[in-house]
Amino acid sequence: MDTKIDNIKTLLDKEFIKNQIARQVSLEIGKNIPLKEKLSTILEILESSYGLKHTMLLFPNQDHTKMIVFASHGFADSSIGVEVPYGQGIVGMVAKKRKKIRLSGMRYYQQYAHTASHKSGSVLSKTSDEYNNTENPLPGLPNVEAQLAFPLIANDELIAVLSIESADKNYFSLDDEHFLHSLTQQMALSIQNALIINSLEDKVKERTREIEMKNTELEKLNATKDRFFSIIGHDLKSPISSLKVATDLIQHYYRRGEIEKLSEVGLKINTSVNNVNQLLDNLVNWAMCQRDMLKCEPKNIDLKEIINRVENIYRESITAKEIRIDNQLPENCFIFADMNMTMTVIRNVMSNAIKFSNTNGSISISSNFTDSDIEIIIADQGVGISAEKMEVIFDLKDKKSTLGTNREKGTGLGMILIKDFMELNNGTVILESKPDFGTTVTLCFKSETI
Amino acid sequence: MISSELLGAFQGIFPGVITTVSKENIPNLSYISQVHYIDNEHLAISWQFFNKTYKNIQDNPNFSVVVTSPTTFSMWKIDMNFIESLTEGDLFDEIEMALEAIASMYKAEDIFKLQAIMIGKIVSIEQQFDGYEN
Amino acid sequence: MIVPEYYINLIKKRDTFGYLACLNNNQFCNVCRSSGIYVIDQEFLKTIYMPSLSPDLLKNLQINPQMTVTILSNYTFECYQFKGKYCSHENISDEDERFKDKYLQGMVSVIGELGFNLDKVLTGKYSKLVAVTLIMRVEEIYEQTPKRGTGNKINLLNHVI
Repeated sequence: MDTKIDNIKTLLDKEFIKNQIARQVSLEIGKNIPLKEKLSTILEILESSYGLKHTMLLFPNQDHTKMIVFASHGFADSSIGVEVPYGQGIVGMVAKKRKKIRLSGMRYYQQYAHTASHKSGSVLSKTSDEYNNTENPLPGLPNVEAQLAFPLIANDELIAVLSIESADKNYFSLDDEHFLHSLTQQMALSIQNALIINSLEDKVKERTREIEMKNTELEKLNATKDRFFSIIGHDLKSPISSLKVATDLIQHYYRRGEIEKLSEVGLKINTSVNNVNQLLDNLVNWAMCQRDMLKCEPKNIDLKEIINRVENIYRESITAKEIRIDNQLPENCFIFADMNMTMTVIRNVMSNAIKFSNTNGSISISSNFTDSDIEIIIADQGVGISAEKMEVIFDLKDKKSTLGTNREKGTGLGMILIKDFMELNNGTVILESKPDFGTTVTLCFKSETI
Repeated sequence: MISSELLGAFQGIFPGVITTVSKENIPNLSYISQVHYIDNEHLAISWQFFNKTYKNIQDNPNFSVVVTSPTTFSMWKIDMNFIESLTEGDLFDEIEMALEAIASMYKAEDIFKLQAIMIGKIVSIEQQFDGYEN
Repeated sequence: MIVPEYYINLIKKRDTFGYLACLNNNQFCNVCRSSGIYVIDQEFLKTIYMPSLSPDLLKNLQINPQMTVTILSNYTFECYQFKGKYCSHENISDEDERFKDKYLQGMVSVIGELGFNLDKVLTGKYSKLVAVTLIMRVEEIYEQTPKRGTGNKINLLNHVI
């Protein structure tokens, strides 16, 4: 009679513990804390209240081909993030078939597999490591003897797999299986809800990020658009006005018969036209560059010839300011670059050097050769660039152009184009400058290809 | 009545045996891996290799199973009548799934291929040895 | 049938466990675990059997001497079925008692390697069960090792291991 009462008491105690576990799990899932934390606590409860020492929760990946370890308890290696393909091992099979598995005597199966596949030698003392697929070891106990795995399914969707392992002779009873089965189904829906909420939060964060990126892009576009209008509004207007003044002067000097002064005016017209040409050129190039419409077509080109051509374009300005050009480039100085882009770069560098040189100043052009590159160094001894301006020299936003020593105007696009075009040609530009001492521009091009 | 101790013996940690009788009245004795509990009157045995056993059962549906508890060494002999052999259904799927899972771990798919499960009705259970210390 | 040397040695190994069976009158079998087996005079199996495990087994053998002994190697999963005829039995001798004790010690250590501690029961209660030795003349040997194509009779003439 006493034994019967003891047995009933044991059963009641066990039921009480099970109810307590179910309640604890419910409470835990209801908490407003990250899902990972909740699940780790639940796995701890399963050990402290039910003696399940080694447990693991795996979630399916997006395309439902693999299970990924999300939380684990009681393993030397947490295995978080380890993947198990559907159909592989116990967890993989549970995921594939969406049915529970209960197995014991795993070592028996190892030996069985070993023997029945005709391998020889005594196998009892070998560890399961030597049988596991060592290329992609499955997560879990290396010496597992018994395992229970349950699919957590809610609204017809596989939410997770709970795997419970044991290394000792305490195999899992049918009673354990039934209890854990009910518990996992209770967990399934709650986890699904938590995942949905997480996913919504992630979506909101992503959308916010997208909006911020679009805002930045819009700001950039606005800056571009503002610059564009500023250029059209101010920078181009001035040389055109100068041309108007020049034509008035021609008429004035012609009426007064002061023919010798006409050549002076001619010079001014030439300068203005060059200015407008360059400004328009830069504007078009820059606009096309913004829209990725420019194609870089590099070939072997004679740099010395390009420098000579640019010098000719600015001959009048050079002569007017009595600037001395010291061109030390050797003959046959070939680089591998796009012709038009190189012309634009050299034109802008030379134009700036001339613009910011004082009367009677000098501009030196020299070179440096390495195995794969050619450096062209164009240095003037003009007014230089302040440290403040150097910081934003390659920036478009809020840029104001600087007047040259003869009040020459620019759009500020020149440096930006130089940088962009050098990069497109796999080259670099380095700017060094000191106010009142001048500016040195070092352009590094790729050497000609053989 | 199938106690939890007996259920433990079904797991096959110490392989059990099955005996059948041929139509020439010669006993056949093979090893089995697992016995699967269905209910208090029915058990199933999974079938991967034995042909002689199956053949004998066609001629004589009486068979016996002896299992040993890995924790106490208690042993039981269970006499049964063969009911049917299944190659589909929930129980077949469950056992097949477990075997497939193991096969995938050891890349031994052909060895763990489940041929069928044999369902038997329990006629009697005899405890041959009680391993519990008094 | 002369039992080949290979099986003589296999049977003696400590990790080889065995069962014996015979027919009973209900068309079921009497079957139980053996506690030690070895070959004598090349043709006979001597099996140590505890009557309390299967009380009717010995009585039924005397009615129908058809007997089967199956052995399983726990290390290699090799499994062989020996079919033959019961010849005689006797109370366990001192020598066989010592053989049985040694055999049970072997069982304890093999089971220990599997992760179970059954020392107390095997060398205690189980060992104290009354034992009897049975002699069986071997007529046929069948392979039962778990693998494809298992179940064939071992043909002595073509016997190769």
